[in-house]
Parts: sequence; C-alpha cells; structure tokens
Amino acid sequence: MKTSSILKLAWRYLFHRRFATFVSITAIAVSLVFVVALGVVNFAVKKTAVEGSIRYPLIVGPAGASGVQLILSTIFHIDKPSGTIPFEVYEEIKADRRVISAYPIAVADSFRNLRIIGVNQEFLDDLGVGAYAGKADLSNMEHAVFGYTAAQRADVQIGDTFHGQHGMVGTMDAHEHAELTYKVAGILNPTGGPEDTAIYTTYKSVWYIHEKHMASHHHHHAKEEHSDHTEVHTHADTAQHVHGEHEAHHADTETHDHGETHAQAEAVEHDHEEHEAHHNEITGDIPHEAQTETHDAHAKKTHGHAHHDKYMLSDNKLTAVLVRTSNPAYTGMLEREYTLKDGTLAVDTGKSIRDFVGHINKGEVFVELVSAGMLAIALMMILVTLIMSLNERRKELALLRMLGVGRLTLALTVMVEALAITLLGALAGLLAGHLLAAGAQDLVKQAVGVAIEPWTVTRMESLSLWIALGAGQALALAAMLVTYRMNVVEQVARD
Amino acid sequence: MQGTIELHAVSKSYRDPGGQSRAVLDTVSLHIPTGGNALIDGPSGAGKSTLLNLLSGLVLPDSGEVKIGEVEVSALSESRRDRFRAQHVGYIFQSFNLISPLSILENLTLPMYLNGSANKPLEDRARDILDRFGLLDHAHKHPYQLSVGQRQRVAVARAILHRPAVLLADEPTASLDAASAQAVIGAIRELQESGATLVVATHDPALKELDFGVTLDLSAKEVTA
Repeated sequence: MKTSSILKLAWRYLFHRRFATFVSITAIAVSLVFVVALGVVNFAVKKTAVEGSIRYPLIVGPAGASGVQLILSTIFHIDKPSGTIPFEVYEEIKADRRVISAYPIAVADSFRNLRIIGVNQEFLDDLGVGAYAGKADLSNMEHAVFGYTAAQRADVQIGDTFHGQHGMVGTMDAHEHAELTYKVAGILNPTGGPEDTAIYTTYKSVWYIHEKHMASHHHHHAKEEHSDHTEVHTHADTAQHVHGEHEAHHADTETHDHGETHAQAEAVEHDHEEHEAHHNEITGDIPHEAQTETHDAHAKKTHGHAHHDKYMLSDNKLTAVLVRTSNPAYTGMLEREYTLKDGTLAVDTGKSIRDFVGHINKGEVFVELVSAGMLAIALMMILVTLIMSLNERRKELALLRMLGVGRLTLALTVMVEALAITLLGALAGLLAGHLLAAGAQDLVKQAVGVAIEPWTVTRMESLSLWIALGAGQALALAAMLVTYRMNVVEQVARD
Repeated sequence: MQGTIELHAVSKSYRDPGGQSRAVLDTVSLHIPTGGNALIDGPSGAGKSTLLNLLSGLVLPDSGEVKIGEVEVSALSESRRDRFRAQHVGYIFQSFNLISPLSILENLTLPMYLNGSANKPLEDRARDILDRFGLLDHAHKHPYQLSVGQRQRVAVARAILHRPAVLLADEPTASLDAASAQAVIGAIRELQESGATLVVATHDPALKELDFGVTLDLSAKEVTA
C-alpha cells in the first residue's frame, strides 16, 4: 500500500506540473529518437551488405571504379555502373575450376525509375526466392521478372507489357527503348533486400535493345552526313544535334569515312565532351585514359565498331560478374588476378563490406556522441526542474514530514518522479525512433534498395537505452539525496 | 496511549541568517494531563509554533526533556519520532497546508498510507468525518476549488482522522474570516470533548474564550504551567 501511495503521489506531482513533465520527457525522447532510427536503418543496410558479400564473395567489374562503387551498383543497384567488361571475362571466370558459380550482370536501362538488370536464368534460380506470381522465367528474351516491391511500385501484373527506358527518369539522356517490348513473366517473393526493387531480364535482351538502337542511330546519322558533308560547320552542327537526340549512341558508332577537316574533327570532339555525362550512362564511367583514347580516335577519324566494342554495353558487354568460389583462398587469388588484368577490377566483397561497415560505424559513433550530449543536457535540465519543483513544494514536503511521513519515503517519491520522467522519455524516444524508421521505410528502399524492419531492436538502441536509464537512475539518486538532505521541517519552523 | 504531556526545562534556539544564535524558548516547563486542554498564548515570535514542533518531535530541544505519556519523545531517533507522530499526534497548521495535487479525500488518507498508519476502514472513516464537517460533496475536489474556511476544516478533519492521543493546533483561525473561524472554533470545541489532549497555540481572542484548563503565556519571563 505504501509503495502504491508513493507511486500515486509521484504521479500526482508529475501531472500537477504537466508542462514541465512533458518538456522533460520530450527532451529525453529527442535525444534518443535519431539514434534509434539511424540504428534501424544502418542495421538493415549492414545486414544486406553482409548477406550480399556472403552470397557473392567476389565481383569482377571494369577497371577504374572503386570497390565500394562496384558493390553499390551491383549489389544495391544504386549509383551508375562503373563501365563495361567483355563477355569473355564472364566465360573465362565460369570456366575457372576455382569458381563454383558466376553470374553475368548487364545494367543500363530502367522502367519507372526501377533498374532493369540483365542476368541469366541461373542467377534467378540461385536467388532461390521463388515466384510470388507467374514464373521466375527468363527463357524468353522478352520476359521480365519483377522484384516484389518493384511490381507494386510500377503497378504491373503478370502479362503486362512495357518498354525499357534508357537511363533513369529525369536524367539528361533518358529516352524510351521501343526496340523490344518486355512482358511481365513473374513477380518474386519479397526478400527484404535490393532484389525487391529490381526488374530482371536476360542480359541478351539488354544487348539486343542497344544493338538495335545503335543500328537505327547509325542509319539516321549516316543519312544526315551525306546531306551536309560539303560544309564543315554544318556537319559539326548536325553531329551535335544527333548527339543531343541520341546521346547514348556516341560518335563511336558514326562512320566518318568521308574527308573531314581538322576543324570538323575538333567540333565533333567538343560535342563528345558536352555529352560525356550521357555517354557514361550507357557505357559506364569510362576511365579518363580511355575517354582520351576515344576522342583521339575521333580526331584521327578511326571510328568504327572495333573501337566502340570496348566501351558499349551492346556487343557482348557486361557491367559486372558475380562470382562464388569454392574456397576463400581462391577469392583472394582471383581478386589479385583480375585486378592485375587489363581493363578489369575484382573486389573481395567481404573486405570491401568491412570497410563500408566501418564507415557506417564511424557515422554511428558521431550520432551517438551528439545524442549523448543531448541526453546529458536533457538530464541536467530535468535535475534543475526537479530541484526548482522541490523548492516550490518545500512547505508541502514539510507538511508531510509533520504528518509523520519519513524522510526516506519523501526522497523515494522524488526519485520515482525522476525515474518516471527518464523512463517515459526513453520509451517515447524508442517509439518515436521506430515510427520514424517506419515512416522512412519507402525513402530508404528508394535510396539504397534496402527494406528496413522498423521494429528491429539494435545493439545501438539497447546501449542508448541502458545509458539513458543509467543516467536517469543517477539523476534520480541525486534528486533523492537532495530531498533527503533538505531539512524542510527546520526551515518551515524557522519561517 | 496516554496523552499526558510533560516538558521539563526545555530550551530551543535557532541560528539566524547572520549566524547568530537566537533563543526562542528558554527553560519552559509544562504539564497537561490526559484529555486536558491547553492554550499557548504569546505574541508572534514568542515560540508558540516551536513549542508545538517540540511536542510533536519535529524538532529536538537544545536542552530539557519532552515526554508524552510514557515516551520521551526528545530521546527517540528521527524515524521513531516520525512513526510516533504518525500514530499518536494530530496537527492543525497555521495556514491550511493541504497538498495541492491531491484531492480532498486523498489529502486525508494519502499521508496515512505514506506514514504506514493506515488501516482498512480509513477511507470510510475519512468520508464520515468529511460528512460531519459538511465537506463530503467536495471529497474529490482539489484544494484550490474550496474556500479558505473549507480548507481549514479539511485540515482539522485530517488531524483527527487517525484518532490521535494528542492534538496540536497552531493558530488554526489565523487568516480566516469570522464565519470560517467560527466553524473551526466549533470543530475544536468538539475535539475538546473527544478525549484527546488538546494544545492550541493562538492569539485569537475568540478562540481564547474557549474553556482551556491550562494556559501557558510565552511572553512571561519564566514559563511554567
């Protein structure tokens, strides 16, 4: 009965000064909310990254990119592909006895801002997700298999048809590929990973689209050249115009086999620089040296397929190869071999993910420090508020003492008040943090392709909660001590 | 518990803010038999409240002895004095001193729960007393919703709730209008007949007119009653 009376009195005092109580609870909550929300998001990102690295210990991509960039574009489907590699690289890796499995990845297009990933049937089978609707079937070049979220976001159903879009919506070079009509063959079960927001087609369909597109561009460009080639400046203008319309199909595909002047060549080169961003979109970020080579080649009028083969996604090019080895030692060996090879870069995903996670952890520590500072300020504010409140109710405390209520009982009441504020603040912070994470679910999915589980309790959250409660306990003890030491009766008697 | 009150040569002084010692009570002696009524008289600052605080064990004398019944209150530890006060002493304060966040009923009962002296029919008894004082309809109101006189009657009700052996009233009619003061005086008259030992500190002439067996004038140089 005494305990419940202490709780009742503490509650009544908290409610009596409800504004101060609310502000105190809010201060504690605010100090925790971002730690919790960020913890949930980071946890999901790290989990996805680690799972990706376990699934595919090695990624081989084009030289000139960073390991993290390759992982981001290949596993998370964010960032642009960093260039292309010949299909032969994939065949060579697949034939290697140290390799259990290898999967080709060709990324260039999108549909309603969702990445279309060119893969093969084995890749989908290896995912082992199973179809939510239709079939995870890429046997036909026109088939497309949607990730669960991708299907929802694009609002498609089995049997629907669509055209891919070059680049992403809103980018300078975005245009529709009408060369091939895709048909929705299947929708995958949700995985919680980046697969949910991807659209899978065969890599051959990606090649087909770009070859067709280049062929039509070639034809169009050649026609214009014939009508303008007698006037140097006119030709340069026309070339620029064509590039503007079909930036994806860089002058690599042009056949300048008629006598151009040096000035003309310069003009074309200039156009290439202007449209470099677009060029990279389709070909990936070509290493600087390679670009120089391209432009030099232009100037020297040595354009043609032999040259553009090296950079274009069409003509048997891939953006990456996902590799699973039979032994971790082989992963290291293959990483070295393909990094040393001309034109390729190999990334040990485990190592890169450790670096990536390390960066995330550093960010977390910063947020934790800011949060700890906010918590300290909030706790100090609560202590000051409590002491002010104690002074305000000095007479009431004296009254209770006169009515035979012991010092310790009163001190415990004040301690309960401090603990209640801290506990309610911490709980409010946790709840708000998880709600914030839930609210940011779509945003995170769009930004990094990771499905967060908003109610996951992370290590960071547990730690923050214990720190908040520990500090709250210390605060409560301080408030209790102040109350215990207050000789209210003597003070009131003297008044 | 017998309500006999005995003070033997009790002295008490306080330090003022300047650090100087100021004697409030100097060798005061007093005897009030069980069920007796005593009036403590004297001007403001004469030490009336201090004397009541000594009787309740709230403060300890610098010298001398305070005894209630067979218990030497001034020799008890702080926690024992708290318990003694909770069980055997009722206190009516100068200003009504109700606890603002609590309802009227809770103002009566919660201190009893907190000091451990509550027993089962406490709530029923509290309602009976409030009814007797015409306050039952206000049981769930808060102090600020009551008039000054009503609040002081609540304070009287709280003081007698646990049937104490000793009742101490410190200027119970101070800051009350005439009508409210009369209501409180009526309540104290009832207390005089309850069998508890009653000690009232006041300089209210109307209250002084009541029949007190013992009068202690603290303005006198040597105080003995």
